[in-house]
Amino acid sequence: MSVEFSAIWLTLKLAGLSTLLLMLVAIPVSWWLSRWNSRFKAVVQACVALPLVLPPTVLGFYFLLAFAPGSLIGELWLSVTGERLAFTFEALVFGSVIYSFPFAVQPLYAGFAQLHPHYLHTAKMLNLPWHVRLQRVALPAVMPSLLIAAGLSFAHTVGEFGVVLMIGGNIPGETRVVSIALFDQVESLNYGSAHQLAAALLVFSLFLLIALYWLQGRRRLKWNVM
Amino acid sequence: MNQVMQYVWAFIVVVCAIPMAHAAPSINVAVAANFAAPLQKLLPEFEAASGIKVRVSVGSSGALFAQIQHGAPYDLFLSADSKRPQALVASGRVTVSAVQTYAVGHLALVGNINGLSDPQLMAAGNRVAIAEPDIAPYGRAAKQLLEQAGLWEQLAPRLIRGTNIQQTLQFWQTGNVDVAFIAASQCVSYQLSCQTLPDTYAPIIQQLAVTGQGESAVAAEQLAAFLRSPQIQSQLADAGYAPLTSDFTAGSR
Repeated sequence: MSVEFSAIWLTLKLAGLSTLLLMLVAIPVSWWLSRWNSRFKAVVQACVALPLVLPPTVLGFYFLLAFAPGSLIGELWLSVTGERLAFTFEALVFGSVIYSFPFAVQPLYAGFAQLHPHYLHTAKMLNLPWHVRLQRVALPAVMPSLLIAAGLSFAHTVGEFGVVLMIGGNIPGETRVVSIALFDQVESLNYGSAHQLAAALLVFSLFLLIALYWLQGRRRLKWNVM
Repeated sequence: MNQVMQYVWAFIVVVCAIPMAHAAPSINVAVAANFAAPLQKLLPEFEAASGIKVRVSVGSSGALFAQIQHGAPYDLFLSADSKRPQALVASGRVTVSAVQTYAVGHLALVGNINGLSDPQLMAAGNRVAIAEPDIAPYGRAAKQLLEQAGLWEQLAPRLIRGTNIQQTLQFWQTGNVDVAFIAASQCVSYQLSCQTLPDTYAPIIQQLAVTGQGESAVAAEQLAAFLRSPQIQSQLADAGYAPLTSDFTAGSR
């Protein structure tokens, strides 16, 4: 069990950091999307939803090319940090944010779309500055959606496999997350360790989803992942 | 509408008839990544001579082994090691006589350094890729080689690890690593300018296992015999493998 402790810690760190970044990006994006009307809205919505339907290998392949020195992202990262991006923890965070993006945006979008304009108008008439309106009115109203978005992003990042397999490089303590460690154990014929990791992932994911459904039931929320 | 339905039915009938038209015997072969390209090159000759159609699935030895253990319909398993075919014997999946050595692999090095003694290999910014030693036979050999050279302890924490030898080469080809320890056969298959390495690792003995039943097993044995024939073995020597000797078939040098 001790062998894979670093993989478990790394997975939690990756999922936690990715979720945090996702919330920072997804809240403004879904707010804007919920208030925006245009012919091109369908195009933007489709782009956001793409990671839901794309095989992770498509993302992994493009990441691999994009992170290499000489291509835009890879070169930019190299010039800023002095290090190469592929096969680093940072590369996994970057990949996870894109991979889990729809799971963060869609519940938030639904939350913002259901938010009645009345509340916002009233707050505006009270002359509350925008950050107070966001802090005291909009965000509390969509708090259940926010929790669900964060929970789903976290769970989905923990469950990431294909992308990490292609851009991770399986470095212990850096990119060897639980799903990859499990894959290694199965391939090394260590079914005992594989059972432990698989059971841990199963139980963890199940309880996280139970918590999210429970939250949904309590708040009479409608959330659609897909 | 009726006419459309007629076309649909006609299409369905034709599609269903296609498999019957190909009654030629066919086998499914599961091949480890390092041997995939050489096998593809040899197959037209075998198929023409035997009339047997061969369908190839490529993977890491570990993944293919797990699939076979759980009933995957492969008739021949070409592993990159001897451990997994022997494990099939141990578990009773195949008999001892179904397992044979078909090739002995060599490591090679591709990248921006000049041999193992080049100090650039150990430079902090230099990225080095190997196949995962725990699951890929070529990765295990690379680990032994680096241990022998006294470099493993220092290099291990920052090695980039591919799940199989093909992914390891892909890391190098996409420009994401500077140095990669790969199979000599890949240097030939992909026309890379590789460097040879000292023979300080346990020989990479690649064994096959006939996993099919009945007629398929007979066809698979035919392919196994073809691969082990002197003529093909001399071709494999040019493709980056050591020729088979009786020493290797015994499993030790």
